[in-house]
Amino acid sequence: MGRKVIVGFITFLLVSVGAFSCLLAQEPLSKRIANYTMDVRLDPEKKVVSGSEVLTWLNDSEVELSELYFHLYLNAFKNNMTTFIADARRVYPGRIPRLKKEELSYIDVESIKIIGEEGVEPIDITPTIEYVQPDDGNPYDQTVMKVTLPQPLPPQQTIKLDISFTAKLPLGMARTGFRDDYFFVAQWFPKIGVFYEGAWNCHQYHYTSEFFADYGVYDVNLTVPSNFILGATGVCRSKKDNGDGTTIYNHYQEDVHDFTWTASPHYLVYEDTFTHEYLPEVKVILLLQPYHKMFKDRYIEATKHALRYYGEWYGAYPYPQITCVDPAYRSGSGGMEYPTLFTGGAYWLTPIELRSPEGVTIHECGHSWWYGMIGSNEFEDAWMDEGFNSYSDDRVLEKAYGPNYFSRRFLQIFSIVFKRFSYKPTWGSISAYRPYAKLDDMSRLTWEFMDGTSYHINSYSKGAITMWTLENYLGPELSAKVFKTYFQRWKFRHPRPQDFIDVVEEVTGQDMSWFFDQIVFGSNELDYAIERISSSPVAKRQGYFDEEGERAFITGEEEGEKEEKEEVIYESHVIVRRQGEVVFPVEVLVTFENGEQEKKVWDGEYRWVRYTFNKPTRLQSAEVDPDHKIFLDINYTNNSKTMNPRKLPAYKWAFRWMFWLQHFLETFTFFS
Amino acid sequence: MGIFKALSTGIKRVNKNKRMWFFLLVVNILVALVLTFPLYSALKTSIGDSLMGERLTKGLDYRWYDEFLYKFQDSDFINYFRATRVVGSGAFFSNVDSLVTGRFFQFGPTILVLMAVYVLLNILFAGGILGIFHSPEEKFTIKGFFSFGGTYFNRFFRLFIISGILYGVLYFLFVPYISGIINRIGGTADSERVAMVLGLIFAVVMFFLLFLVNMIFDYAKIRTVVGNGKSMLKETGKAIGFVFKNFGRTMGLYYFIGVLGIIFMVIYSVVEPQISQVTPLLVLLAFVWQQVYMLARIWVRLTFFSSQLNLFMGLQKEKKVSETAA
Amino acid sequence: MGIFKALRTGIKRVNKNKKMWFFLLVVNILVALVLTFPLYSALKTSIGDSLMGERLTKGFDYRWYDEFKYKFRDTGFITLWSPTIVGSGTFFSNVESLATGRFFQFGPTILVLMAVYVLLNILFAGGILGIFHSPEEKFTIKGFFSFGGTYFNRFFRLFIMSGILYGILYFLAVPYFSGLINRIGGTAASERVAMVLGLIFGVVMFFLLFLVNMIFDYAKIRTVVGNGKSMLKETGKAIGFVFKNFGKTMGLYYFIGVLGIVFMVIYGVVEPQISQVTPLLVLLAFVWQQVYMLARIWVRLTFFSSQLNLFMGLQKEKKVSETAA
Repeated sequence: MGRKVIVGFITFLLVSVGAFSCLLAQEPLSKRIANYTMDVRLDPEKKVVSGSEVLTWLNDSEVELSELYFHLYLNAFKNNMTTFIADARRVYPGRIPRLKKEELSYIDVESIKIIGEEGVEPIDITPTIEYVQPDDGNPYDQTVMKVTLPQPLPPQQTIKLDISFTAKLPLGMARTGFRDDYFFVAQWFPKIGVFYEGAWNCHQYHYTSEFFADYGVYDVNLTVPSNFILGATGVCRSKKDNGDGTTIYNHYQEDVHDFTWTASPHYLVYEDTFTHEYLPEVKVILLLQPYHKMFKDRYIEATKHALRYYGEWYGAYPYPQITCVDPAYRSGSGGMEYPTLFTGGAYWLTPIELRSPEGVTIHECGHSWWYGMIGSNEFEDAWMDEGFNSYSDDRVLEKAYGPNYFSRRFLQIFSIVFKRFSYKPTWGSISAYRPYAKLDDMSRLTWEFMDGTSYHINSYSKGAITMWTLENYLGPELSAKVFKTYFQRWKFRHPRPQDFIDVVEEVTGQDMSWFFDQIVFGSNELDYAIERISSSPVAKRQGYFDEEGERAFITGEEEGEKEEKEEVIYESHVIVRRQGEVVFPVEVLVTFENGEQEKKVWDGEYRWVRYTFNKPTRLQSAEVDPDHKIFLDINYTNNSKTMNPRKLPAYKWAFRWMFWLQHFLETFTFFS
Repeated sequence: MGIFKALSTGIKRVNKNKRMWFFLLVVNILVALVLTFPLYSALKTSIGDSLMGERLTKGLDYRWYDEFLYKFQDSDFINYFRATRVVGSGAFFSNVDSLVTGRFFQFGPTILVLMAVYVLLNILFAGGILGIFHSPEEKFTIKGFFSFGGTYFNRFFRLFIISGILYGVLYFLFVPYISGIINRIGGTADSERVAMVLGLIFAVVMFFLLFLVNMIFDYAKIRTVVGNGKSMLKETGKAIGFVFKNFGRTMGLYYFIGVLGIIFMVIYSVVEPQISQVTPLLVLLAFVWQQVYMLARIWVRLTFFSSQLNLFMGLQKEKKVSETAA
Repeated sequence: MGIFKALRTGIKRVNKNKKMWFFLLVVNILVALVLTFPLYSALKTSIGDSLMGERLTKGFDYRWYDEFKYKFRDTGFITLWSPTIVGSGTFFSNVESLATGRFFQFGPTILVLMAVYVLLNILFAGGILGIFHSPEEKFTIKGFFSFGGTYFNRFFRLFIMSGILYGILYFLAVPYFSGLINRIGGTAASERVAMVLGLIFGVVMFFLLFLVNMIFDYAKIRTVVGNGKSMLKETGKAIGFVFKNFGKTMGLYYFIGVLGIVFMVIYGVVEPQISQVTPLLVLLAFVWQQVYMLARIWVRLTFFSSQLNLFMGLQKEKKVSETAA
């Protein structure tokens, strides 16, 4: 009996723990604030998507809300006066989108009703629709819609809205639209803004940013022609032939903040599975253009590398499926991230050494972490997803594929890879950053950067090299802990820069404000250099010296004899200089001719520091930041000096160039 | 006369004139040095006494390379120091690419002026080369070389102008026209492959046309020297007639020598990476190997002249014989 | 033969060959353009679309110049552009370089260009003298290069020999005298002593340089006239000739030299009158520069032509007197 009771108790305990675990497992990953159920149909002839969505939205704030804000992104391509086009004119003067009638887009919200309890008549709030322009007051911009509620929505209450809309798609623009019978449908439905930090955060559509939304559940019925192959956010739960030449697909995904889909009759579909020792299995779907069949394995392999390394470093990919889309030629939809679906981009005859499509695949897939799961505000803190992600994809590229190689497309057809000239993927970011180092703070609002290049460099390049510098400063272990902690703590939420800084400080136990204040919230250059080195025997005494109460005139010759017996002592000086405005602690490695090395650590604060050594050996060289940890240092060549400079390389590379010039001259005797 | 006979006799004559090779190489080196020195000085300034020198001895360092280009971004020609030109066989590819696409017109004025000076010198030299090859002694002397050079300079310069017009048509009308077509077709195509294949076809056609014009004017020069012609328009017309009348042989010979040139490039490219260039001696060896290749390149140019001269004279002779026989 | 007759006939011959002037000018321009373009591009980059352009149109701006120099401090020859070479500064800086051998310290780029130009002019010297000595005395490209080629090897050997003498002057005489001046100057009571010594040194140096130059002019002339093969012999004989006819050779040389100085002065006086504030005036100044360059080339040709006359005239007189004897 007693034994039975014990066995029963243990069984009960195990069952309870199991049940609790199940319950835990079913706990939503995110606070599902914005949940959409949609039913839409694609008209491929008219390039129109129409239908309705039911939005169930939770007021997660502490205040009552009487207004709701929505993004209507497709209105960005409605005319030439929208904020998007105005931005384009300003930030990328060379890239003004086309404005032909059939190529433009818009989205009309036909009705918006509040759905109440069952049996209660919905309340039509369509007449309250108002276009607002919170960022620039541009009256022509209709990318943000405001509706007014008849009664304020109390905190922690949910509202259900039924919205009917028609979306006319543009000819492939900013990743969205059509090209012949290829459709890539992104930013296409009325999407509610985010209410946080006590206000609506619903920015207009800008040329440089578009992502910020709350997490939720998407349950979407998509009706497309039956000969079309469909790819979409989430998992396909059902597929039904309507018998009228169309098929209805149901896609479902929990805990994402957007929904994107693509349809084309030409896709080749490949499926594969990502498996890992401890990470969950993920189904990898590749939608490939028929003329890119040769890239199949490269796309899949790159996706798996991203799933593996990001998973190992930051946390597991939590969704069952990921879809990689090879965009159609000239569709303008390449290289973009969406939840559980992303687009790559490939170009015929691109050898693997060029890391294309590998680079873009890893980058966009990697956004599943920095953007997908970490829902930072891309409008306001672009570096937090682009910078983190560029840093991460550099790391994956390096791990999985090794160094990058220089290349050139000969006659714009054949790529020639210069295998003798390789470099770390990140070094390209340093190159881009250098000329723009002092142009803008990284922390600017995305559309307020001086121009498109500055936006790009501050968000991607500087973001990446900042993270690299942080990693190198903290060391690999501590840095790994920082990023993992940050990811785990903030996944499925909306962190701000300070949240990341807090994690860094908590994990490291250090005040890191000096770092972020200078790098993220400042725009000064960082440049440490060895200014001067010298080494010479310690000077002999010459002149009058008072010794033991007597004055003696010493010529210096007297010590000569002594010296012959003793070893010569050299006085060596190293002056390290801070040439930039950024103050950063640096290491200085001093090497002597006998192989001895001394490492000094300088706080880097004053403009320069002098180190003096008295040793029986001559100084050989000095190098500041010898391990090149500080990727933000804009000049690496001036980081070192040697007493025995090599003359050879200047000759060597001048000769190499001379050969090019000689051959150039000889080639053009063609005309003589 | 068959092309192989023309070639073998042509090569023999070229090989008899080794001093001519070296003379042309020395001029090539001297002209190249004019810009190599400032480049060297820029490299020296940039590397200074940095430890980067150690790394650059081993190979090109991306960080330095990037900083160097940034430092000299405002210079007119220093920034022509590009990895795609100085690493491996980049020199060949970039120059051939420039030639076919006419991209060299976008080069900085310094390089273009130097090119112009060199082309002018070589208009002078072409007369010297052909004059000597056509002379009874077939022997290079500085006196003979410049004497012939001076003799034909005016006429060859006029030929240069006429050929320049044709090249101009190719670069400024044909290239934009075809590029426009490729862009138009490519812009409506289903994949990037269409534009790339069209680009390839265009490159082949462009090569063919450039080579054709080049060959025609080689024969125009040869005609001028052989027949002491005075009207360059007439000589050009007759050269066109000659080339098309003997299309198989003229083309065969031209492309055969061209292939020889490519073989030299391949040999250079295979050997070059084997020289590690980490010691002064190895750098010198690599430099010598570069100059050996340049000699081969000059040899090819001389062989073009010499063999085509043979072919022309041989065919003229055959024509006369057959006319006499008739 | 008197020097004025030699000069007059010499000038006539030079004036008959205007195509030769222009040919030499074109070569000079082409070679100069090789480095003028990068300099132009540096200036353009530096001025950019700054309002400084306005100021620089009117004249020289110190602040801009200072910034320009700083910006291009690492690019060898660009920094050789300085206000001291503007206007008549060109003459002074070049003459100073010649007398002191300072040009050896120029960047390698300028030196290589100089070497290329000197080599070309070794070739051209044969062409010039060959044509001047030919019965037709008429410039044709063919004749010019033909004579150039004929004498290139020999003139190159003369160049090497003269190079040794110039080398002695620059690398032995100059340091020796500088040392001497420094030593004496270092113990002198005022700076004037060193300066006067320097002046004397300058005059002596000019004299020696010109002497060597003249000797090798006659060595070339001898080679062309007598088709000599041994350059050592020709140099020896040229030395003999110069010293035997010291008054006449020197007189002619310095007279033409003075002509050159007169041209310099004329250029130097006129040049500042052209204000260069409009494109047309800048063009005018450029044309005036080229007019001066033509005059400079004319002087060079007159040296060859007149000295050739003097040599031939004196040889003839010698023969006549020898025959008479």
